[in-house]
Amino acid sequence: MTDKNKIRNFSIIAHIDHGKSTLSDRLLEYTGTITKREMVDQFLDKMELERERGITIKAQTARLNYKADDGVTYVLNLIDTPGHVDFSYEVSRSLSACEGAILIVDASQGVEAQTVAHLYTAVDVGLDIFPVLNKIDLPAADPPRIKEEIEEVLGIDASEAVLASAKEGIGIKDILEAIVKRIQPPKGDEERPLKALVFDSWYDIYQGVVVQIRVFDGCIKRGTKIKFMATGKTFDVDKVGVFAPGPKEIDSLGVGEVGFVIANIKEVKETNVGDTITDALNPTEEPFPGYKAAKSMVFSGLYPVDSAQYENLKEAVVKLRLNDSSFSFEPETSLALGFGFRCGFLGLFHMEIIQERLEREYGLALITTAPTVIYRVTKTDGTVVMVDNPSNLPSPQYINFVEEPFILATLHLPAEYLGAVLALCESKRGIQREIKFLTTSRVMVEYEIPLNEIVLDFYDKLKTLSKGYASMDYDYLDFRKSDLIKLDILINGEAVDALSLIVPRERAFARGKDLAEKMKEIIPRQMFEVIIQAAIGAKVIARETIKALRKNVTAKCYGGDITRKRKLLEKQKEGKKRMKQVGRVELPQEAFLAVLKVS
Amino acid sequence: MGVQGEERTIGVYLHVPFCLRKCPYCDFKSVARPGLSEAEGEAYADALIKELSSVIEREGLSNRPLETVYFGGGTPTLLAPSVIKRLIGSVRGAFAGCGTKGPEITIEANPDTVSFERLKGFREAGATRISIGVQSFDESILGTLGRTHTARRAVEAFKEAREAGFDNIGLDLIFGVPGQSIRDWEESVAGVLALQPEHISLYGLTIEEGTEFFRAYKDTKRLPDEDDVAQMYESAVRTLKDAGYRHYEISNWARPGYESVHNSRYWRVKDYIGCGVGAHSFLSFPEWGRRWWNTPSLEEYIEGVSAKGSAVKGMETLTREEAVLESMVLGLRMLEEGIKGEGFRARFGLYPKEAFPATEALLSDGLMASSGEDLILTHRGAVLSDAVFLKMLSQMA
Repeated sequence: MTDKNKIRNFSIIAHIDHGKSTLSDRLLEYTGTITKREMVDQFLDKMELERERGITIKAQTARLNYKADDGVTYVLNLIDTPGHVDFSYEVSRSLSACEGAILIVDASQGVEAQTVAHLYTAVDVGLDIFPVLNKIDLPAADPPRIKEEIEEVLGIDASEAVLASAKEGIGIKDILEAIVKRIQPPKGDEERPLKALVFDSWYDIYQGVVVQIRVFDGCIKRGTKIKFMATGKTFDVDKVGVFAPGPKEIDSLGVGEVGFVIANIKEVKETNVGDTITDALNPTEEPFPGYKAAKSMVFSGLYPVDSAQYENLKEAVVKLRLNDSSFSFEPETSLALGFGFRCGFLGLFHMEIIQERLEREYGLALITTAPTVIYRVTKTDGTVVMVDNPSNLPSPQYINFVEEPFILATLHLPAEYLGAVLALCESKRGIQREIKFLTTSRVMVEYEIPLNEIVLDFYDKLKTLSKGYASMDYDYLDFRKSDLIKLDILINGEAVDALSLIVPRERAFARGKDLAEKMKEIIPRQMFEVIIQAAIGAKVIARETIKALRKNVTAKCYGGDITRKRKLLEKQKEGKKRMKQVGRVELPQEAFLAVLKVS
Repeated sequence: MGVQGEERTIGVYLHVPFCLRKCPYCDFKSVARPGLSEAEGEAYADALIKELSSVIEREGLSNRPLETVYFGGGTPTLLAPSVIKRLIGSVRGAFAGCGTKGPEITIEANPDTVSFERLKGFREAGATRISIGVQSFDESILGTLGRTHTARRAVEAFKEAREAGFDNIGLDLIFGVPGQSIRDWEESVAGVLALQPEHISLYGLTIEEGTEFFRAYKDTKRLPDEDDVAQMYESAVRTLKDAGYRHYEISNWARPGYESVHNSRYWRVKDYIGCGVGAHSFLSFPEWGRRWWNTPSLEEYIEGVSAKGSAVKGMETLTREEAVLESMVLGLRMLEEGIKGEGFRARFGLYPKEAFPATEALLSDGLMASSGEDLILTHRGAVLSDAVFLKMLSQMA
């Protein structure tokens, strides 16, 4: 067990390519936690997908031993955080496990939007924050200007900002010293009953669920009978350990320590992020505040392009679910797409990540249907049904009323974008709750908005019109009555269930027209004419025609180079594999997501 | 169908990689060499002869009857008639004979590199057929294509070729050129018909990676509309039919009996040896056949051939599946001949309809027509042939 006064728990807050991963690597290297030889670049981002997207999806931690100038060897726990609005709750839990945060700002580019959102969370959690100006070796670096910007935009004292270049290894020691001196040691009481925060967990095929925790009070060791306070489930601890950065078993984790627990747990859904672990025999009175059960907010259908791959998809979603309790699925059947799954996600980004992982890690080609929220439908006979697939909306004569989920969106933005952001919120059926100037140049806006509107393209629009500077966080509010109807899309006269969507009545006409137009753009010309119609019940409200392909012939002289001609054809065949045949018409994946591209 | 034993003849392709200048749309292997020296021409011819004889020896082809020789480019007419004569002599001498008709010997020509004297020289050297790259009769389209010659010069070259004794002349045009209207195109087609050539090739402009056009027309909006291009092709199909030409291959028309024997070898999957920079070869044995191709670099080619008689850059052995596909795709390009069911079955052990289950739908959609087990593309099938082939490939047995 480490003396809590010698522990520092910190996180790194940075914009996507301002050098968070590189700095993490340098800290690991400098403290000898990992040698250069062992260094796979950017060690902390483990998933291939994370490396490619340059973001962290799962939180990662590393324990560093650092002998400071005062002669004392400190234990520094670096807790890496996920980087997207869909995971803002996970971010807040990871940050809650820390006492401090390093704010990295690119010394030439300055403060970027994403940084701001995370920083506010860090401030809310009450962390000690100090800025680091990274990439000072670049010719365009301008530390005085960027310091000024940090103070103005973020309201953080930047006079003692550390100047660094993670790439060149400049300023690494200064950062480590600052962590020791400027971040407070953990508080807590060894004598009190165990209280530990779960901030991540995942499934390991050999050990079962691995739970990442931060101990606030008491101590946890092998043999401790632990209880998850939200679920009430109890387990006997098998192993505790730390990541240094590979897993290393130790005797116990005490106050202020960060590490993992293995307790023969079979499913990640038993170990929710934000839950509190306590001693089952001697429980703490109050759990760590702020727990929220993970809840699927967005639903879409996942179908294999090739129906023969259904079993493979099934196996893949089961495996993925083992590791991601915020992802849910249920079998569903579509007339157009065959057998597939209705899946629930935290948000649109989470949905994309899941789809990409399924395709990449399991070699599947998938069709994703348009994301939707869950609707509460009260029927004329008084029964209530939850509808997470628009094609399941009962016929109008059986509907008494429909309710849809509303959220409270909290937006932070520079004042200059206020007009545009308000207009966006209004256009998304938003109800204004508050506008507050935090400084003369920064505004916080709160809106109640139907989640359905957020799911479509709100976030992208917000980012675009604020040049990326507006940040958003949201909380679920309640279900509210809305005048909603089902919009169907017909292809050559046949309604395609996977293309149906639920829309506000007053926008149905415009939405149907836009959607039909967009589908016309997306669906390639076929060997016959394709008619796209948007309809409400039996009433067609929009119609577009995709003319039959006029010409598709290579009237070219290839000489004797037949190989090339054949390879071209084989390549086109590969491209065609992404097309789903619905009736006689071949639809590309984008056609099912066309609704994301309109409005 | 290239079955060893029955198929004894051979075709030879000789690639001449020199041009007056590189055309911005062309992705054939060529280098701009406006002042090609006699010595360089002779040295290149030496390399071609050396390569051919080493291939013949390696593959044991010397007893094959020579059916065709084809000088392609680049611009073969940049070589002196004496060089062409020497090459023809060497190729003919390398094989057992050529049957009673004598081989078809084609030379591609650029109007700017020929004169009556030179054409007479090529004819006397043994060329039986000439293919002149006219491309367009519209000066502004010729400019867009980066051609060095005028429309008038092309007409003169045709007349000179006739006078020089060529009784089998082919003319090439390109359609779908940026800035080209349907009317421009129809005038060019009329211009070609007025000359009454034996053979006409109409090629749709294809923007190929690595060409100047590829960079210039990244934005495809600057290219002619797909429907307009379709109309160009269809109007030419009608006009040439009315004028008595047979549309024997997707891009090729001929007066009866004047179909290109050499190019037909490609479509019938018959053996050919390609010599020169970037040239491709095909031999239908053993099993499903194999292809190889030479380096695209002139320097590497000369070096390789002088060192070891060969400058092969890549090769492939066809799988049965690839051979089936190629037979189909190439065979169907021949709009009159199509795929002969029995010949296909003799080689692959099943009928085309069995190998390609999509055939049934294509027949009922009117994209193909059948007579027993024989298959051809309909006119509409020809116009949509790439989509037809893709459909067949997607559902291969």
